[in-house]
Amino acid sequence: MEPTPDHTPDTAPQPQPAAPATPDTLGLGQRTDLSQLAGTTDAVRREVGRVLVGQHDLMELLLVALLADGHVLLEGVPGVAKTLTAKLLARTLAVPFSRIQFTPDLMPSDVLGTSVYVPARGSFEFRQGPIFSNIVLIDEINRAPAKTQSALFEVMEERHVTYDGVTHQLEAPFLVLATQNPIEQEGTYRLPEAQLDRFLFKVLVPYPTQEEEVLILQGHHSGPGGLPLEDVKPVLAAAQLAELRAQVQKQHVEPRLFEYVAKLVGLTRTHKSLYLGASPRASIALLNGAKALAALRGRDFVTPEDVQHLAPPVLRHRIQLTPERELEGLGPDDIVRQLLQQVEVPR
Amino acid sequence: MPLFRFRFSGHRAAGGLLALLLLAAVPLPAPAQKARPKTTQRAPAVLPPGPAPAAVRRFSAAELQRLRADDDLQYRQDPPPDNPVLRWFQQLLRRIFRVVFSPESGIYWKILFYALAVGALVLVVLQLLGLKPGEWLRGRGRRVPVPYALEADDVHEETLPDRLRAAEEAGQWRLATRLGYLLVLKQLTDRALIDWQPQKTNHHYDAELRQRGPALAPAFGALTWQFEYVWYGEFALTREQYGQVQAERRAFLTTLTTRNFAA
Repeated sequence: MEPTPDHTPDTAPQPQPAAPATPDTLGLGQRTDLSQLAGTTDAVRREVGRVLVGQHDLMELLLVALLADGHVLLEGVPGVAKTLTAKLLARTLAVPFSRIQFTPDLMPSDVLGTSVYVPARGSFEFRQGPIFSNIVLIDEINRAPAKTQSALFEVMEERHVTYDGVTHQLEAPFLVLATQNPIEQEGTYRLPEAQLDRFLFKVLVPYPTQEEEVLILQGHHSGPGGLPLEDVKPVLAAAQLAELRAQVQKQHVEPRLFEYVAKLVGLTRTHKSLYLGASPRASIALLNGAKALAALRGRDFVTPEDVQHLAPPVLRHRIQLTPERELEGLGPDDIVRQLLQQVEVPR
Repeated sequence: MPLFRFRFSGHRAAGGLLALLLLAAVPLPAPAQKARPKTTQRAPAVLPPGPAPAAVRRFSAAELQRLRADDDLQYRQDPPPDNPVLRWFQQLLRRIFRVVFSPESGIYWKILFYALAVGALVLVVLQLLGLKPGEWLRGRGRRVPVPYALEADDVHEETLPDRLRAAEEAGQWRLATRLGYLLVLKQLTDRALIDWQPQKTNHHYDAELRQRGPALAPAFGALTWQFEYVWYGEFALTREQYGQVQAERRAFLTTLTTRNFAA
């Protein structure tokens, strides 16, 4: 006998709204075992949290980027722990880390590497630049001119460097964490659109709350600078991260969600307030990010909530407003919010 | 060699030219003026005869006449054609101003006039600022018509119970779970516990229910989790599993309809 349909509930009994069984009690089971992913990411959070106060949303997005194999641009005013967060995340990973301070006189060869003449061999040899690392922190990325920025195009997208006709592959994982300050204009350059598109997220780093700031002060009061960075232990190895990424890649996506993502990103190309819309790379970024976020939240499937949550950090640096809208005081996030209200959630 | 000779002669010519320029640039001493002998002779009494007197030129009367008749040179402006509406409006304005500002009229007319003028000015300023005062006056300032990109599966659809019954009879448990969840959303919307909008996610409704009917929120959260797990997770439910989902939905709807949770 099939279950009887319910349309007009009986009025006789007045039970309390019983908490329905979770899917597990229904015996649905979890198709993917995400316990390792949850344990590892919790460990990363714990280690970072030993030094960093607050910034939970930032940490979540950084972990999503780590799992989705994407680069992150951190934007915030000076002193909100952009660089510290990036360094802490790098320390929790048992992989090589390098830091490049971008300056106006930085040359592409200072980043990528250069050919050096070796007298003993009588030939030139490619000497790798600081980009040849697993986690690369580019501090104040907008202080280098477009020539140097362009040097990052290939390595950020294709994970290799071509020099003198020879392609040098980078080891996985390769993650660029770049920081920039939105206020200071003197001596800075606007990042090329092609480079911005290569960042999975642009994360706005906010000021801490008052309670968080009190905790920061208490930490510094007890000792100069609080806990030293050296005390933060690596908890995630490269091979482990590769496994987690493979798991994220297999996340389940309902077919109508593909359409949802495509519609959302496609609207940026026809929106009257925008003169530059997002590329298909943005759609891929949104989907990959949503898969990683779902995994981080303990699900092996993506929901529209994941897509909506990540739409601002994925799209805000990939769209450009018309001058009229900018003069009206609108920002990219306002437009993304409008876009989210224009597309029906598949349900 | 010819080329050498040419270049050589060219240099020589250029040198000569430069020398000339230098010479021209050097200021030459002014020639010493000859001392004029003092004269004691008087000027002649009669001026010498000058040139012939100038001929007086006169405008050609015919040419002037021709120019006067030329249409291109007529600069007068024709009076605008009589506009009865404009004339009526001018008369109306004149009458209003006469009434308002005449010594006999009371102060109230003046106050009314200035209030209307200030109101009109404010409306113009708001319009220029893009604040759409017309929509404010009509009470539609906050609502923006949204063009939906996907076909909305409207929760208010009257056929929802029929579709749910059909899905259950066909053994489409996953679809039935979805339609059952939409039914729950419909019931919540009808009771103003949530504000249904196509662009909202289930978590938006969850947040709204926590505000408007917190007693229902945990049960709704669990129903949401089931729906998402089955629908977005594409879980193939068995009949028994669906029976459990259905029983929980029924319990929720029963509670919802028998108790007053309206905000």
